[in-house]
Amino acid sequence: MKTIAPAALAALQAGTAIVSGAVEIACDPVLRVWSGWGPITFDGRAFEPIGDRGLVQVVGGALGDAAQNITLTLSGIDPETAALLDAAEVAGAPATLWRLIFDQTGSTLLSADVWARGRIDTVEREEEIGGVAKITAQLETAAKGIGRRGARMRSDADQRLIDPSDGFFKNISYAGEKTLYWGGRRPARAGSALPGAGGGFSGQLSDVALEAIRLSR
Amino acid sequence: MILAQPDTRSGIARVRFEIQRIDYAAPEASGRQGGVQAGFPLWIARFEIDRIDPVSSDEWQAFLDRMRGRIRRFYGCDPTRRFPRAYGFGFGGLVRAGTMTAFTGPATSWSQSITADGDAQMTLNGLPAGLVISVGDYIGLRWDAAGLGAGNMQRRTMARAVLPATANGSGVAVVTVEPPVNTSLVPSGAIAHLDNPVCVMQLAPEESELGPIGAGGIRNGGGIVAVQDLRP
Repeated sequence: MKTIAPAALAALQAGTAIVSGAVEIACDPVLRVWSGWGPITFDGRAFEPIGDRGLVQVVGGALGDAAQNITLTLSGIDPETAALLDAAEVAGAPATLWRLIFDQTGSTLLSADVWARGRIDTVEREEEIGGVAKITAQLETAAKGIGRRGARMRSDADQRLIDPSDGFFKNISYAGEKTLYWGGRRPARAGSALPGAGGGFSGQLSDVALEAIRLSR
Repeated sequence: MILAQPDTRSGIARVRFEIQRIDYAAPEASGRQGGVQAGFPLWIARFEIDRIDPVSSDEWQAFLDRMRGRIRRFYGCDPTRRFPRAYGFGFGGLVRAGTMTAFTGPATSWSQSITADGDAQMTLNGLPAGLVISVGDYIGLRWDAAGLGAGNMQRRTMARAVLPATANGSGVAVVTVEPPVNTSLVPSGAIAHLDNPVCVMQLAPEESELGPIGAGGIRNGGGIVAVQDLRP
């Protein structure tokens, strides 16, 4: 659950928000960078600017879908981020992502929320002649890491493994994609109006659910 | 080393100085264009050169040579607006309000406030009484880069007036500008100035090209694209 400050929610609602990201990787030395142009301090931490507008924006995820890694793409030549390659204890280093919401002038920080916490899985360096130099860090959140064979699902079965009384996902069977007839020809039968809406379970069982079935035998 | 933008006899035929903003759009079926803006705005410039004389051609060539691709920076300015529109040839004869000190461009102090509508209003103090700032005039800001000697003034950015303003009798003008000055980046001790406002820019080499030189050393135009390099 993410708690976003009311002022930031109001800015998002009004469409006036400027969004950027910050990342802390607890390797040695600790790397703290954010996507603005000047240094910033929040949560008692000082972040160095890297001016990367796209930092920490690639976060995938869908209801009923498997948890995904978070891909951090950093510049390969910024002294702040290049230090990541030489740092000790990078593998498995705890990493925290913040999403920062500014007002439309970019000078007032409305909200800084932890967006994800996880551990660094792989760090790849890519230097292409005539292309770009970048460092790609894969961040595993708890939903995927901690030695799991498969991925956690945003599904009812998986959620009830955490708390049997938590029915937040009970109406989710699998990633829903419905084709709605928006004008055009009417469907011939009611059953074909919403493809895949037939009764019963039609999604794939997650690894965790399969594991639970195996254990219960 | 930060180079100066060439000021050649043939000049720059066309220039486009704009504020680059990047949006993440989330359009909705309702027709509403939702979304947020990613990061903070920068200046981006495109200079177009027409057929130019041999001397100007050599100067542009030397400028591109000295830029060394992306290695060096230059002070990019809008050649159509080196001074406010009402004072195209400088501030000769103007004095700061209430004094006999000649006004050369810098304000004595500045501040920025944000209105309830989100407009950024810069207050410039120490201007001549009645000084006119027109729409499209630039307000430059310069401050010292950390780690270099005092007074190096190697950090530059600028803002553009979007509403007209006039200094009052005591030399104070309130100007609505875009983009808003990032006050967490630009120190309060920075100097706001109306003369020759520039921003530090970096070349985009793959989009910058000078045309070939023909008979008599006449160069067949060219285009140069640069993006602001904003640093604390």
